Amino acid sequence: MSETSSLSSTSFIRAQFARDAKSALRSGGGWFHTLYFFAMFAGFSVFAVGPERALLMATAPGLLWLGAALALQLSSVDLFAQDYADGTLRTLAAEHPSLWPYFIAKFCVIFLLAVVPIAVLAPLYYVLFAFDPASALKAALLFMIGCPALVLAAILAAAMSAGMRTSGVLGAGFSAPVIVPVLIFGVGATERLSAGAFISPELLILCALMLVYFVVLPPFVILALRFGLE
Amino acid sequence: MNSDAQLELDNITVGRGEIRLIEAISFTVKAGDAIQILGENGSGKSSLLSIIAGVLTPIEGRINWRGAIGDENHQCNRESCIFVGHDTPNRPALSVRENLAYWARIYAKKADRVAGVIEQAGLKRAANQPSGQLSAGQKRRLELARCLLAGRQVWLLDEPTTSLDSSGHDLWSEQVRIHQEKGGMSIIATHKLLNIQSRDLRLA
Repeated sequence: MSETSSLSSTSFIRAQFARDAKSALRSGGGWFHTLYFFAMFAGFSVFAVGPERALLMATAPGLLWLGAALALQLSSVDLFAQDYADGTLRTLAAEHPSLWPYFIAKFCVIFLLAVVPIAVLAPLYYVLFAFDPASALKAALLFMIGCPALVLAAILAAAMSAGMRTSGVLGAGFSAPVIVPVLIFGVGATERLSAGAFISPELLILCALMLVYFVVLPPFVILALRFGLE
Repeated sequence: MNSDAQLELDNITVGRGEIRLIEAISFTVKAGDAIQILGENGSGKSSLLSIIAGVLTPIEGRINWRGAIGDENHQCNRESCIFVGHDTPNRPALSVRENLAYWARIYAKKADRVAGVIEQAGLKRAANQPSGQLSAGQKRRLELARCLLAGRQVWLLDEPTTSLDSSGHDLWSEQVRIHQEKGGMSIIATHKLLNIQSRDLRLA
């Protein structure tokens, strides 16, 4: 009984990640909703735009980035709801000095179960939107670069809506100012790609945005989570 | 367990919004002590425990954590506490064993301790059952298993025996007694006293 526990952040992250991933995979396929929404949105958009090749290519970046942003927002609205409801967050806040590992684990779960599947599926839709296969693959790579910023925005919205006990969908509005720049530069980088340039100022700004979000947003997420426990 | 550990509540005032529930309460808990807090619903028992756990902020007063359970500023060393709230922090889709395996990793304990605490908490038959299928009493036993797994010095227990049958109540009493004998400290908010040597604090 006298043994003292010394938990590293890495073990905490791995434990939390394994628990969330395992329960997400067992809980009626909820993790699949993000991909399903993205697939439906992108698929219907192709038909809505029509067969004109130039119009398809012009609208593809905007529609597919919007689809990814909405899919990530909608799939994350209840990200913290269960942990609030069953007391997990209260217990972790009481028994551990920091909620940082908890936040990082949540980010990793969404990245693996939502962003990666979207990026894998995206080339197919870019091809349907008349991109050539090589450009479609590069456009999907842009998703991998930009979507982590969208995930952070979605986590912020989920934490704020949970902390303020508002509706999750309403909470998505909190992160609009964070999402809009990612959409602008993500779409811009994809448009440059369709014109033949992978490395572009828009891509560099997108990368910079992602780095800034990684520094600035997590403390607000943790603050919002703690506020929700008060 | 560290015999120099001491927890001091110094004029803690507890409130919810505008309402002041407990005025300037003070007490000290030393290694091997247990305090049982009694009071009507809404008297502030759970809020007081949440304040001690660091989840809520008191209106006034200060808590000093001395010895191995605190740091140089007498702030709580969170890794010396276990907090049992009203809810059961377990994933319904995961089995009892899987949930406890998660907590074992969170508490940096070896996974082979899980089977032992499952048995101690009387959950052997339910070990592979999804925790969402457990009865309310079994969920409280699962919380006992989590306490035993963590092996921490300070137990903060909010109505740990709610929904339990008499054998479950006796089991909690026995384990808190053993915890005291090892030098552990327990603060228990309850409606039904555990059968232990303790100081009882009745809230108005």
